[in-house]
Amino acid sequence: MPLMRFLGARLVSVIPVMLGVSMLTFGLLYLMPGDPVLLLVSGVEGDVASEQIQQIREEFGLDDPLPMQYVSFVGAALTGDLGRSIHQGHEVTGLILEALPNTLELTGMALLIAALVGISTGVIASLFHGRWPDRVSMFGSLLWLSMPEFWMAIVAIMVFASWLGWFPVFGAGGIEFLILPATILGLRSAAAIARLTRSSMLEVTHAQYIMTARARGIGEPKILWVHALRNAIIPIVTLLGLQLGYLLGSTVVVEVVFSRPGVGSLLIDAVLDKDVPVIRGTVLFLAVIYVLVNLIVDATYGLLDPRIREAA
Amino acid sequence: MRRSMKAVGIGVTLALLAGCGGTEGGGESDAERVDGGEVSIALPTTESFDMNSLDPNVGGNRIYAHTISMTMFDQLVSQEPESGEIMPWIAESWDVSDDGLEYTFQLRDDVTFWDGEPLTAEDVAFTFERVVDPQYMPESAFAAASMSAFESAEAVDDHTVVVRLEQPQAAFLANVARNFLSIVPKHYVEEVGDEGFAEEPMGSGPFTFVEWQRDGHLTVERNPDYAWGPPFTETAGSAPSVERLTFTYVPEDSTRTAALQSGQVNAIMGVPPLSQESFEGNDQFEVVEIQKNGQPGGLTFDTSSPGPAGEVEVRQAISLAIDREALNSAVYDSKHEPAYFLLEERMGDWVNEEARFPDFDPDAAAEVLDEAGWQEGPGGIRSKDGVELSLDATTSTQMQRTMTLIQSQLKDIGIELNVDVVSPAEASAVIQGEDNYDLAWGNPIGWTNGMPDLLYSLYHSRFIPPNGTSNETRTSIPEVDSLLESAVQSLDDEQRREDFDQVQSIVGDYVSYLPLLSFNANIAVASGVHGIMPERRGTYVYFHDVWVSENLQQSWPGN
Repeated sequence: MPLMRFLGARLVSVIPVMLGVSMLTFGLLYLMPGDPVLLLVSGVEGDVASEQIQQIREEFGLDDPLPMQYVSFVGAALTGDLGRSIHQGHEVTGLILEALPNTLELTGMALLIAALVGISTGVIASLFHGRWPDRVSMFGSLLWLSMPEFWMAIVAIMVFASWLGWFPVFGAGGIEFLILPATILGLRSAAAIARLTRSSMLEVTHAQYIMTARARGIGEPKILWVHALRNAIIPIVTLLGLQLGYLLGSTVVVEVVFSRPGVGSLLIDAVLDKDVPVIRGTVLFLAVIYVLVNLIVDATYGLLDPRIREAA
Repeated sequence: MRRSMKAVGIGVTLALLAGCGGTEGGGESDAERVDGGEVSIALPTTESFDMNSLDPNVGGNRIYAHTISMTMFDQLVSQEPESGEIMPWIAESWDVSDDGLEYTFQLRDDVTFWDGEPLTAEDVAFTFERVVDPQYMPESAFAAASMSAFESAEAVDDHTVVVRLEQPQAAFLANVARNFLSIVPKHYVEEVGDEGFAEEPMGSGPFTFVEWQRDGHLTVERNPDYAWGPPFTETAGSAPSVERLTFTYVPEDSTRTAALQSGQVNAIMGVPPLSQESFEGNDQFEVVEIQKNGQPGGLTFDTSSPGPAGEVEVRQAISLAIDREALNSAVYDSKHEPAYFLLEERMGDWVNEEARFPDFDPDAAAEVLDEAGWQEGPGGIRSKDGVELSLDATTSTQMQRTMTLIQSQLKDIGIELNVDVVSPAEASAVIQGEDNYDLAWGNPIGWTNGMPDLLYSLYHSRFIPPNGTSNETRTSIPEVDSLLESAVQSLDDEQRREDFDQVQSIVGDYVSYLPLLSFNANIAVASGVHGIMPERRGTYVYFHDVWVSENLQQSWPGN
C-alpha cells in the first residue's frame, strides 16, 4: 500500500518535530522570569514559612538541573502524564481534556464557516473576475484580514449581543453561544481562503483541459465544480490545514474575550500564573494536534491527487 | 439610576390587574423587601480565569473566589463594615483574659451546617488548627498570616472554645472576622477529604452550594434554615430573600460591561472606570460605590537600593512631582480618589492627619533635587557625580498607562523613568525577590480588615525579603520596628494610635511608599437588585441582605 508507506514516513518525521517543540517550550519557560511557587504567596503578609516553599519546589522538581527536568517530563509525557498544575493541583492532562470539547467545538465551527464562506466567495469572485463582485469581495477580505481579532470580537459583542440582543454576550453552552465567537474566528480564515481560492480557480480555468471540457460540450456547472474546483483544491486544502493551526492558536484571544472556557483560556491563565506544567503541557498538546492535522492534510492530498501518492 | 419608567409601568399594571390592595402601588413595592428572584453576577479576575478551590481556609487567595465562599460560610465574629466594631456572629459573646493571651468564646447553640449537624466548638477548634497546619502551605499562607500569634484552640464543651495566643495581638478579633477563617464542618471535611471539600464544600452560611461547573459558573441557593446572620445585617435572624445567586468569571472588561447591558447578568463586580458613567447615566442601572481599607495604590520604592532610589531626597522629590488628580482623570475618568495618606482615609481615627503627603508642587521638587546636588544636565536629565537620575520602574500591564503618565510627570523635573512592563507574576517576583529594584507600582493592600496593623507586616524589618515577603520597600528603621512591635501587641487603643501615628509620620517622611490612588471596588447592578453590602475591608461582599424587586424578577430573562 503506497498510501500507508507514505503516511508511515510522515509519521516518523513527526518525532523530531515534537522533540523540537518540547525542547523549545522547556527552554523558553526556563528563561521566563518569576518564581511560580513564590507567586502562590505573592501579596501575603508577614513571613511565609520558607521550608514549605522549598518543599513545593522539590515536589515539582523545580530545583533539579534542567536536563533532568526535561528527561523526566518527556518520559512522563510519553505515557500521557503531563504533570500536575502548581496552582490548581489537578492533573494537567485532565485539565486539558476538560477544556478540550469547548475548544474543538469552537475551532470546528470556525473552520466550517471559514471553508464554506471562503471557498464560495473565492469561486464567485473568480467567476466574476474583474467585475464588481470580485472587487468587493477581494477588498472586503483584505479589510477583514487587517483588523485585529480582539477588536472585531468586542465590536461584535457590542452590536449583536448588547444592542441587538441576538446572542449571549459570553459563556459556553448551546449553539447560540457558539455563533458569534466562531464567526469572528472563522471569517478571518475565510478571508484568506477566499483570496487563495480565487487565484487558484483563475489559474485553473485558463488551463487547456477546461477548454477541452468546454469543447466536449460539458455543462458549465459541471466544469466549475468537478473539473476546475477539484484541480484548484490542493492549495486550498493545504491552507485549510494551516488555518486549523491558526484557529487553534487564535482561540486564546477569542476565548478570553467571550469568556469561554477552553484550552486557550487555560493557557492564558497558566501564563499569567507562570504555572509551568500547565503551559508546557498545553503547548505540547496543541503542537501534537497541529502536527496531526498536517498529517491528515498530507493524506488527503494523496486521495485528491494520485500523483502525489505515487511520488512518495 | 432609580428605576426604569417601563418597570414602574409594569408594576402599576400588575397591581391593577391583581385588583387587590395588598401593596400600595408600583412605586412603594420597589422599596419593600420581597422574596425570590435570582442575582447573576459577573466577576472580573486579576490573575486567573478560574478559581481553583472553594476551601475558604486553605484554598489560596483568589479574591473573587472568596466573594463566592462568603455566601456559604460564617465566621466566629463579625465586623461592622462602617465602624469596624467587632460584633457577634457564631460566637454570641467572648471574654479576653487580662494579659490578652486567652480568648473564651461562647457559641450560639442553634447553628447547623447544611446537613443538619450542629456547629460546635469542635468545628471551631478544628478550623483554627487546620489553618495553621503547615501541610497546607503555601495556599494557607493568607489564613495563617491572620493567625500569626495563635497557639492553640480547645473545645471546652459543645459551645465553649478557648483560644490561646503566644503573644497579645490587638487585631486578633478583626483577623478572626476575616473570611479566611470561615468555620468549616469537621465531620464533613474528614469524610470527603480536603480535595473533596475544595470541590464540593459545605458550610453553615446563608446560601447552600448547588453546583460548580467548570464552564465557569457557580450556583448557590438560599439556605431556608439560616437564622444567624451578623447583627448588622438587615436580615439577621432570618434566611436570605433572594432564591439563587450565580457567579461567572468574565475577565474582559468590555465583555463584562456588555453582559450587564444586555441583561445576561444583573450585577457585575469591578466596574471598569470608563464604563461607570454609562451605568450612572442610565436609570436601568445603579452603581454601588465601595471604598477600600488598608494601604492605597501607589509607588513602592526599594529604600535599600544602592542607586538614586535609595536616596531619601530623590523619593521626596518624586512625592512632590506627581499630580494625582491628573492621573485619576486621565487614566480613570476621575472614578477613583487621589490618596495622600499611608492608610485609606476611610479608616478614620487610625489615619494620622498630620502625616499627609505633600500636594503636587514641581517647583519644590526641583528645589529638593537641586539642594541634594542633582544638577540639570544635557537632555534635561539630572545627574550627580556622573550618575544620571534614571530609575527603572516595574509595572504590570494593568497599570501601564498610569506608570507612563508618571514617567512624563517625572521627566518635567529631570528624572528619567525606564518603564518596564511585565506580567503580574514577574512584577511580584521583582519586588519580592532578593535583588534590588528601583521603584514599582504597588497594588492596594487590605490585610487587617480596616485595622492599621498591616503596617507591621509592611514596614517591620523582619519581613524584608527573603526572610519575609511583605516588606517590599525594605524599610529598616529600628525606631519603626519597636513602635510597631509595641502597637500590634498593646491592648490599649490610645497607645496603639500614638504608635501607629508615629510610624505613619516616620515612614511618610522616609517615603518608603508613595500613596497615589484610592481605588474603589464598585459594583454595578440592574435597578431592582438591592442590599449588596461590602465587608469591612472593601474587597468582598455580604450577600445576606440581597433582594430583587418584583419588577426585575418579572422582567429579567434569567428569572
